[in-house]
Amino acid sequence: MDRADYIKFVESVSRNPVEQINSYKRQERPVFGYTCSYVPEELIDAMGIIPVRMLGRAQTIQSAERHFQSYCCSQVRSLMEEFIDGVYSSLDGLLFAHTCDTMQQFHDIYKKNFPKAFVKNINFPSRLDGEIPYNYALAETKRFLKSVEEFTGRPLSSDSLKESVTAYNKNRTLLEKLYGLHLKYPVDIPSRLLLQSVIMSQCVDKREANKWLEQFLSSFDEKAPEDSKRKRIMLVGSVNINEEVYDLADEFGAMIADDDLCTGRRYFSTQVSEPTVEGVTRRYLSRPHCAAKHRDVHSRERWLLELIEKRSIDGVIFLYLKFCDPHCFDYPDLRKAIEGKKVPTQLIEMEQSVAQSGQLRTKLQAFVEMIS
Amino acid sequence: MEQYNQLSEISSNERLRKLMVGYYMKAKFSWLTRKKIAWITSGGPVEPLISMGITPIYPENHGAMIGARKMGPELSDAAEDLGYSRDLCSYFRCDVGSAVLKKSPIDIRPKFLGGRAVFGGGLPKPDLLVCCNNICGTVLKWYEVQARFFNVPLIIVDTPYNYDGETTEIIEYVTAQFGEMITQIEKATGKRFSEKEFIRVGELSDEAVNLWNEVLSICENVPAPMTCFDAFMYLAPIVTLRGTQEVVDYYKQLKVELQSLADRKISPVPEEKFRLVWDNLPIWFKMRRLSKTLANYGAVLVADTYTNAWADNDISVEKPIESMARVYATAYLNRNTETKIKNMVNLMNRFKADGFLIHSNRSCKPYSFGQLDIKDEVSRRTGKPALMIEADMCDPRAYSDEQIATRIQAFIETLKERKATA
Amino acid sequence: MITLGIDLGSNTVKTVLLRDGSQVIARSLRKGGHDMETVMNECLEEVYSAASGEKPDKIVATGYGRVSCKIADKEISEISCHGRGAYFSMQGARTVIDIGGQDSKAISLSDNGKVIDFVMNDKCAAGTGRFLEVMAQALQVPLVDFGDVSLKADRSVDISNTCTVFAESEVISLMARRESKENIIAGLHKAIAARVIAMAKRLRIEDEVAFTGGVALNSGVKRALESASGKSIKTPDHPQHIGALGAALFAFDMA
Repeated sequence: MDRADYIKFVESVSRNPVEQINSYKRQERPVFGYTCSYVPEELIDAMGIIPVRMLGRAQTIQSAERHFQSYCCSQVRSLMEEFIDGVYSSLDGLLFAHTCDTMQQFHDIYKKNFPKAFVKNINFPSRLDGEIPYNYALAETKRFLKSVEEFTGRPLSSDSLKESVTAYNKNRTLLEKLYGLHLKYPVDIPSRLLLQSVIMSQCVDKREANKWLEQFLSSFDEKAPEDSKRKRIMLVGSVNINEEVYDLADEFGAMIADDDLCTGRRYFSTQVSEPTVEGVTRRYLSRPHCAAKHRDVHSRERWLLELIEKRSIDGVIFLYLKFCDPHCFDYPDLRKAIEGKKVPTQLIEMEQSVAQSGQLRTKLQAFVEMIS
Repeated sequence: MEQYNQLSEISSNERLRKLMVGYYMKAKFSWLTRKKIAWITSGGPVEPLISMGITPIYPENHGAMIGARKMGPELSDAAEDLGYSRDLCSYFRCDVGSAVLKKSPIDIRPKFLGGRAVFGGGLPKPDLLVCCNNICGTVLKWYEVQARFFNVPLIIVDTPYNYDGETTEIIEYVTAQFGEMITQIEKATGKRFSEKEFIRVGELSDEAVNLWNEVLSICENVPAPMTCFDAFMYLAPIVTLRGTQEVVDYYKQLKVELQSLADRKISPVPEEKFRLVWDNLPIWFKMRRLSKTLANYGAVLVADTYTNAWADNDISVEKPIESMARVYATAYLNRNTETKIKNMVNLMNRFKADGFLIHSNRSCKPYSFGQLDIKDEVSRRTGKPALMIEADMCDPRAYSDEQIATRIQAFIETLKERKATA
Repeated sequence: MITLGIDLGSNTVKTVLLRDGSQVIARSLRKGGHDMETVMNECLEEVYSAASGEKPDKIVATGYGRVSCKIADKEISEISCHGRGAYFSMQGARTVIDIGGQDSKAISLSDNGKVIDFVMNDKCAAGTGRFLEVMAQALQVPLVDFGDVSLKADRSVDISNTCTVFAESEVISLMARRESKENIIAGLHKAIAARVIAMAKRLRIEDEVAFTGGVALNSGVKRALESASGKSIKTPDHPQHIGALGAALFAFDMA
């Protein structure tokens, strides 16, 4: 395999995982979709089910209009459209996790419209602080686990959980390494590879994903770093599948150096330290959290400032999905905190899968011009 | 059928006004009585606070007042200037705007101060914030913002949504949090918790809730003696002051007065022709206009899912904390969509409704997403038609009078048609 | 040394020919159409002939069509160009409000004219020239007359809807109620100003505000912006050419 193969692979899987799902189905392996990164994938994987991340890619919304009003975020509207269109009809089940109000309602609406589908939900707490939420999260994870066992018909084995945790921890290490190498080789590793590699990891059996990543990353061993004074931009937001932002940053001589996205660093930060249900639960409680969750009133601010400092970030782009309430609530205070550290910011609101107008280009270009 | 005049028939309206003015007055002067103030979400566990002598303040009730006084756009603008998106909950935007501008419909100017405003307008500053997410996840973010703004402790009671109904995991979690919450309140306010006092308040709260339920049930009568536009007003004490004797007394009087109207078959409209059920929050800034529009067609809102959300409570003496956990964990908006469908069908049948109006409320995503499916399903199960109105509870800037009027007219025409062919 | 700035906007093409980064030799402005390139060439002919055939050493393109401008040596975003052009035309400008055909923006400048922050409208047409265009059609009043007509208003009506479609139906029903066109137009100016100032307030609005773009020719909007922001606002000469001017200035830096 050479680098071009990797680039081709992650591009095709991250843009459309359906072919990947179908190939697993041809091998008669069960595949579950999951809508949120709070679904404890390790447990699903350990039951022999391949979890595949669901990200709405529908270009136009028609059928979903009958279920979601126009002021619903495009991630959910697009996904509903795809479910109705049968894009993911080969899935064996669908897993939800509690995060925001919209996702919560999505679960109910999905279940109502697909009464025969195997649908489970992990009712993850909104509070992440202390032992009371942990005790609940653990009890709920066990309840969730039992409900998924209805599908396999057998309990989770501790050996397979150990193996799964190892594969997942390794994937997280590899993605972390990719982010690190990207800073040294911004040309050979274009910014969009961060996004595509994370989405690929969310959609492919972890062992296979790890193989691809390992081979690609090893091609950079002993290579002298590129000489680069590219300005470093960090993205902050919920989910994103738009590659254009990454490409534009590169095109204008800057780079997307890091992010706080569900389809980015938030997915692979924090390892599982102990290969048990308890250990997995701890990981999901302690990872850098989504705006819909609460650790304390400054936890997201602290995390972002730390990352900005560590990565020497020159500018931050809040890349929000329109109608994403949890992030919109955070925006003014986060912006104030970040700009207080003399790091400029810019807000870009987008809709999933909707072709961007020239405005995105203008904003990105002006932002790079401004921080240069 | 007779039509009544609100002012002459419902003498408890004056009592309601005094109750609410007194409440905000006391809150404003809490510094004199050294009472601590806690801001709390509308579905939040208020009984421990009241039992510990802490004054609860409800920013959501304040939001409703802002909406009704048509101050929404001005206060929203102030929040939007800070960078809060116009797509966020308008109660939140109004609350932030009011805190920043110190402007509010509550503008108390006592005579003994020569008519000067007490500390400017707006809610009294909180000593403590209590957030219970059994109504939405939005309040969690809202209270985080306010905790940073006022730099005061934030207590969160996380009540997981009842996806699969009420689970033991949820009840144990919420029960544990109530224990924790009481310790936190004691720490933040220096007040001691007494279980005896708590049970006393819990019983008063139960009594008020039961009375409220009875008040709403009077509209099962044909004709109904009040419409939801009245109920939206009568709701304020059950939200803000449940757990006190004065609320119990108020609802007792209201109930007697409404029952008497019902017995005499007196209606708030000249002729009750269509009985409708309302879903979601009121459109506060269009209450009068919508009420008039509907009254002109002889349409009466006889029940709604919103005011009924406070009509369910059961704090038991044996296990006070656990029963309170159950009450708050299973609040109406925390129940899944299937349960909401059943509830609406039940309301339609109980109140002999001819159809229902669904307010698709841009400000309230958890209440509104699912309505399209609820509308179809409730129509299917009851055989009654529905109309969806897209609006907002406080923000008139995405609302078109003409558009809504046309829709309501068309809907009434369908109802007429049905009656004629029935 | 001669440099050229081309601003390929959504509705119009603007060019500015500049000598030595300080003196404007010629300007041109033409309505854009489907064939942007032809319109641009006509614009170029116009400025070149005014400059008696002198050709530019460097060319910078800006505006929506900048990417497809083949003759340009470089393309620079309209944010940077408007900031630069406004600062040049109005020394000391610290806030630039630009309302164009399809979008509006607010730019913060440092005391030496560097862009330090900016905001642009979202995809919605409210707060852009398009909003007024739609209303001009509904009212049957030519857009160019809006400023003068609004002067005759005895009050400005409240247009409560910000959505262009809703606001249009609101305008139609106001006309049906025999509200005067003057008052309606004054109300529309107030509405667009409220929207734009709300956006600009995400930045700090400084005392020195320059108002640029095609809508800046409408004195009614300028007054409405002043009353919405509480600041005195200046419109530089040739407000539509500010972006092209900024581009020509950047071209001079390159030469």
